[in-house]
Amino acid sequence: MINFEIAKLKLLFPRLRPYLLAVLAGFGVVGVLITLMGRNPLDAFSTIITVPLGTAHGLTETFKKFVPILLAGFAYAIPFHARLFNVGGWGQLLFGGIAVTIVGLSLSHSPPPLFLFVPLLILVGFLAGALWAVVPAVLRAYFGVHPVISTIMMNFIAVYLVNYVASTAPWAETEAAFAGHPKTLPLPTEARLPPLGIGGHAGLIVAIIVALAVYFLMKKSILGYEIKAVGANPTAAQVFGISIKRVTLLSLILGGAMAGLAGAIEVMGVHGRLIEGMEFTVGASLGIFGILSALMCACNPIGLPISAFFMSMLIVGADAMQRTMMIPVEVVFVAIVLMVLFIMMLGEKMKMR
Amino acid sequence: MLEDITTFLEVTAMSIVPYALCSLGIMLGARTGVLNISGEGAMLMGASAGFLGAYFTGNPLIGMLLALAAGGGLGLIFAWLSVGLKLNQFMMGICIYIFGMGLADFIYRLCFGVRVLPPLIGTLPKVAIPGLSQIPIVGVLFNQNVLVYFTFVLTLVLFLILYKTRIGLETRAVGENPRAADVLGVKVIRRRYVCVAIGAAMMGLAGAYLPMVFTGTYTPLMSAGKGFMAIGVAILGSFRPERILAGSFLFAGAEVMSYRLQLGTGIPWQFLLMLPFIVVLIVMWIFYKRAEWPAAIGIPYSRE
Amino acid sequence: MTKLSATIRKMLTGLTILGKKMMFWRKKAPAPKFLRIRKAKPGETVLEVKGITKRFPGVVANDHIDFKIKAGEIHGLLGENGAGKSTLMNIIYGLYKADKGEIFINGEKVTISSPVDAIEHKIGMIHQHITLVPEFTVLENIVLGMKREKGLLGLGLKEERNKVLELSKKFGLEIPLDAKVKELPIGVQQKVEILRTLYRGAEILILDEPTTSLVPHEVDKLFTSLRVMVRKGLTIVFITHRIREALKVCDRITVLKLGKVRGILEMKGATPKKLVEMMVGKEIEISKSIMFAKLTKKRISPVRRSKKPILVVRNLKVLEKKVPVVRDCSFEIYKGEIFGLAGVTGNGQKQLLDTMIGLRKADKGDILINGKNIRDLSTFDILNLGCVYIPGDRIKEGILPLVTVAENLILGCHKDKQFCKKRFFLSWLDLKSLSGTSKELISGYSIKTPNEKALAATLSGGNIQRIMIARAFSRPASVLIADNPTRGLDALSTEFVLKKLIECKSKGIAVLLLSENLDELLKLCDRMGAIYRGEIVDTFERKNFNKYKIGLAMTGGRG
Repeated sequence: MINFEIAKLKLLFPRLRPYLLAVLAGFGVVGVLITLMGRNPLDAFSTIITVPLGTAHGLTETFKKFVPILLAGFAYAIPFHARLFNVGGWGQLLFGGIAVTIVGLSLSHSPPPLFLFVPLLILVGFLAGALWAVVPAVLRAYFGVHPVISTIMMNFIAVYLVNYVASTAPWAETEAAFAGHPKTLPLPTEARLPPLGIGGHAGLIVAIIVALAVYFLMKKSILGYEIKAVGANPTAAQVFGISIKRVTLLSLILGGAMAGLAGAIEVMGVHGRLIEGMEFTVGASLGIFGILSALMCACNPIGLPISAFFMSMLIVGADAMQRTMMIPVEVVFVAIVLMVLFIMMLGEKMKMR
Repeated sequence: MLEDITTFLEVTAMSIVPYALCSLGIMLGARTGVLNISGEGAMLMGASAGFLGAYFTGNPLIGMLLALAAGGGLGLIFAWLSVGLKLNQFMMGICIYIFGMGLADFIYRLCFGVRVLPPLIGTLPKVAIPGLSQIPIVGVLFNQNVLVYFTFVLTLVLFLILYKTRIGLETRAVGENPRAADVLGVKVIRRRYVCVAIGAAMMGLAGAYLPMVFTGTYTPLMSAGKGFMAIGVAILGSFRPERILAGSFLFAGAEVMSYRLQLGTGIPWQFLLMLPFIVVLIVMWIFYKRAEWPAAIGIPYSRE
Repeated sequence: MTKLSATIRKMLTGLTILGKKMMFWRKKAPAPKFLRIRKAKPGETVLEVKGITKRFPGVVANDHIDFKIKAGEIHGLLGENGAGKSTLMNIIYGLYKADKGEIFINGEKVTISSPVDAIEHKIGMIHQHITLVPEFTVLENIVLGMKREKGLLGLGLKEERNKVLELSKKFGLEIPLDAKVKELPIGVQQKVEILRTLYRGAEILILDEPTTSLVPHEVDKLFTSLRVMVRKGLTIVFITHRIREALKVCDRITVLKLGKVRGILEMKGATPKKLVEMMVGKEIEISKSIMFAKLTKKRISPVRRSKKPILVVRNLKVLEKKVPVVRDCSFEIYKGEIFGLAGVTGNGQKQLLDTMIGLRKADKGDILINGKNIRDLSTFDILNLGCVYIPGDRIKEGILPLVTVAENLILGCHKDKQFCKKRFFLSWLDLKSLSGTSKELISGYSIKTPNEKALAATLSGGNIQRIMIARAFSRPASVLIADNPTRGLDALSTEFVLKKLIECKSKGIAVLLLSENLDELLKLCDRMGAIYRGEIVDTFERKNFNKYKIGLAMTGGRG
């Protein structure tokens, strides 16, 4: 038994090499940038690593970021296996949040008990995200429109929709709207995710369940097989009986549902209401970070939780770094993107060998 | 009524530039078989670099050149990844989009930190072409800033080059059947690099237009999806310069209408601002399958 | 005023920058030259290669090849698929770079590092797959890549047009200069390619498998043209894997096997038997081989014709962009019969097959399998009715490249009970059963792969084809539709595929066999239909098989 585990680890290590290289390279470039700004890069790096992992508060924040980023990563990763690029995690996340807020507020006079309300709202978020992906899915399956364009359009539409919901009665908190930071009234306590100590909030449990479900989906299920087949060679898949339309629709809608879950959890667990701009952190939306996490691990269902956690760690660390050392957070963002680029380049070079 | 049309034309002509320039840039790369979807990132980089250049030197021309360089630089990186390393063009486009977005914010933040009042530059003045600008209604098309004229001229130049010259023939051949071009001695890889880089430079310039003409400053995500709508324009125009200009007019018009309608109707402004995006979706729905694509688009080329 | 001049200055700067960039692109390709007096006299060596070696990952394509061509001859380069013929020629044409070796032209050593160099040395190549731009006109294709005679820009093609017309008259290659290439039949496209090389002054012409898409009388015409060209001073290298053709047109033949030169034969001493031995060696027992068997009218194995056909296609009409590509197509296939569909690529076969498999919707007509009309069924349902399909383009339609061999083998039957377990509403793959079955198939069909978990993209063409065959034959079937199943395969794999097809007869499977290779069809089929422009022009019984009649039907003539 033990030999088996060691053997597995030995197999894993060479595969991990490009990732380690890329991460170090990313940090290296950023270290140079930080030095150019007149700060000590080693201090910066230690803050980035120790705060999220070392402090209780940091760890909680990391878990809180981990959940939506992981889900947004799935939103990109599931359609990716069918060679469909769902860049709409941002909008699908927002719509999930909108739906949850509207339903939550409309039942705020006589809210059902928590153990009913919370799962209901989670389902609402799931369906809302799926719904927001229906238009791009149909456009792709029946009209051939590339999902990148359609999902991004849906993103911007969702952004404006958030503003509308957060600025309009009966949902809005009117003074806030006038001050230029629209947000809605708070959700009733029965609609909020219970806290989970150092794990942040109960959303973490949802994320773990979802991660297991996605693993099962992609590795073992028939649908997963069909998605991979369509991604590998749609013509061949079709010739042998797989319905491309069905696979396209299902994979995109499922991806949207993932992001919708993320939005629901953000509203229910972190903010307690819909706030304009809540999806932004360290210079980009959670949806973008989800995509970056997925790119970092080549959309592998086992690798995603790891890279999403890594990503959240960096975000929390960057935030701390900005507060204590006055280094702008965008530095870390640039580092992350560079790491992703390096990983993709190295991945290709490995294949060539 | 006539006045309304006139002002509509005037404002639309002013708004056409980001769509048209960016889309022409996409077209140039697409004609050689490379679909560069990182337009939004290139535009943001161009906006940031252009604004910083204009602000610190006081000369908008320097800003434009910096924007061209920034866009072109991103384009070269993209070309290296997708043509040189043969990675998937769409994934690389998304990566470069994210990268450009982040880098644009980063360099702006580096120069200015966080300020309450944003730094401003003067916007580009309008230059009237004597004679032509006096024509009623249509004359307003000739009373615009320099970049509008540049866009019109560029459309014409690109049309002439692509369809009326040997170089254009070769370039189009690279996008239709790169093997055929290669066999005849056309340097496929080099042609792709050059066209993608120049195209991306144009996207950068399109981005610089935004602070230089509309807002006078740089704000994160100021391009609001125009880089992606430009992809829609290019598809709608079947990657032809003249049709791209027409398509840009349509989308710019939709944008202008979305502002206009806020005053008249009772529709909340948020829904009106969604209008351009909905227009793109509808246009794609109708036209995507009818568009003519260069046959070799998206496929990396190698001899073996 | 100053604002206006500033504007104008800015626009001019922009334009000059553009202009300078265009200058930078200009290459120094030679202007079109025409046939001058050759340096080499007939009989002298005009092109020689020594020690050419080229390796690709995992295979040595060319292994120290020495090769000589004499001026004014038609030299055949013969070898089975995968022997290295195209690689050698691609090196000579500058598309590939040899790892070792030298090239000599007219006795002088030359370096050819790109097609531009090859063109400069008067070498022209016509590739196996058309390298024309379908969207452009014939004239545009011919002129592509060459500099204008006079002037900088502009596409006015008057002078070029006249020169092309001169050339086409000289060599008897009449073609419509302003037609778009995509609208021309393949035979004409080939003429365009030839004219393109002649326009650049080629004196050495390399033709890579030029007869693949030609019917017998077009092949004859091509051979006549080649002899005309040789009389006018050209030298020709003729690459083929078809022995009969090589014997018909070549003066000398070099045989390649597995990247090495096996021998050079003069026409006088060459017999089919000798050539086959050189090409294939001991791998295949020639006396028992199907591929190299003589064409006879005897059936390979008998057919018990039952009264009712298993597969019936009746008055089928299929539209593509409102234009009928399959029109009034009707034929029947009986149990245990191999029915061949002979036709030049592009006459609606692909669309016919797609419709039969359920990928396209027919406009009119019926398709019946065992009496059941499958016209409007989905692909999945059709496959479940006992129809198996071997697609024509294995890379595009046959395999999932980045997926394991095992997963490829079950494509199409992945929902079968043996691989799929269901509980509640979830269904998942039984990986153990999958692994077991794929191991069986791998050994049963001799698929060369390290294990069933290897990615399919790492396999050679022959092995990919074996995967497709294994897939098709491992299910109970009543109808087999095979689209060019031996395309691009080496001799051993071809032998294997042909054997399997013949086995279908004893299993009682009705086989629809599409092939560009008329010889293959003549050997295997019991009956044959010739398809032209989407219609079955004529059907032939085996006892009436006549190569030329069938070829004529393939181009629309009725005998």
